[in-house]
Amino acid sequence: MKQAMKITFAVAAIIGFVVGAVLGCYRASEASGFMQSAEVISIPSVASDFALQQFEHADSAHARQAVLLEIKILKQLERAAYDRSSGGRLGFEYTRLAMIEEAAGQKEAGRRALDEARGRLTLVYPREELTDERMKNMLKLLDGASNRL
Amino acid sequence: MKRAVPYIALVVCVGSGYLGYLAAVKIVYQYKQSTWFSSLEKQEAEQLRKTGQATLAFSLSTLSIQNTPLSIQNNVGSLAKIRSKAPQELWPVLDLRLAKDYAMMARLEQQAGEQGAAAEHQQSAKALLRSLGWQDVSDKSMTDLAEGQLRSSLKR
Repeated sequence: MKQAMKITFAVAAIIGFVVGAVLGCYRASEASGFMQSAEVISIPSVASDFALQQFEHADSAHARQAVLLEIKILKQLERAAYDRSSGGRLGFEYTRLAMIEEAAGQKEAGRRALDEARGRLTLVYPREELTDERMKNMLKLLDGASNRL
Repeated sequence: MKRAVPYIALVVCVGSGYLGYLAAVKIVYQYKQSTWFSSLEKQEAEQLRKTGQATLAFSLSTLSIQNTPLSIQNNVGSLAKIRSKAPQELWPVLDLRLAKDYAMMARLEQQAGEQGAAAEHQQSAKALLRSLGWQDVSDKSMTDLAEGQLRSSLKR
């Protein structure tokens, strides 16, 4: 009798554990996908807000630091193939970097950043004539829209 | 005793199921998380995962800010916890939010007639903004910043 009870409880425990583990695996996979998506959305959004605010209020050195942080993060996401819109974003952030460099008197660095921006934005807006002024105006429009949120 | 066996077996089954569920969730989630951004180099992927955790926690914490001193104080506490785990390169991002929180607290305290606390929080906000390179940290710009934050529902 005791032996039969032991076997019954052992079988019940094994069945319960296996069913629980299968449900747990399913739930964890689901949660992992959801959390990864949420993080991938939050990373560029937070970095972009910070870069914009530093661009509007901080000195050149700090504004540059903020935009370089965003560019670094966007490039990482791009390489990890998680942010398909990063080409456009990167183009605008290079435009911002160019504006910071120009304001700081770093003409050559500003030129390089604008060339990089044009290369990126041409892929996103192939029919637009992307002059320096056009890219800067597009960025100002985007910033204005973002500030109105 | 014999009659109780099926009930005891059921309890054992449910209990084991719960344990199995918890163990599987923890192990599988941690494993899955360790594979995020795996197309990057190991160290870079790890850094990006930490950045993601910090920015998500930051976004959620910011979303929950209400225009009350208690809610803002709670957010200040949350930011300290997030900062302790966040990569160092994100500290300025968190510091900017902290400065805005202090500016909002100062404004609410001014309106409540608590001038001492208001002045202290305003000084904290100014010190943080100076460290972030902000060029205008006058009283007026602090009031504008706080008013803008208090008006905004998104608190960006």
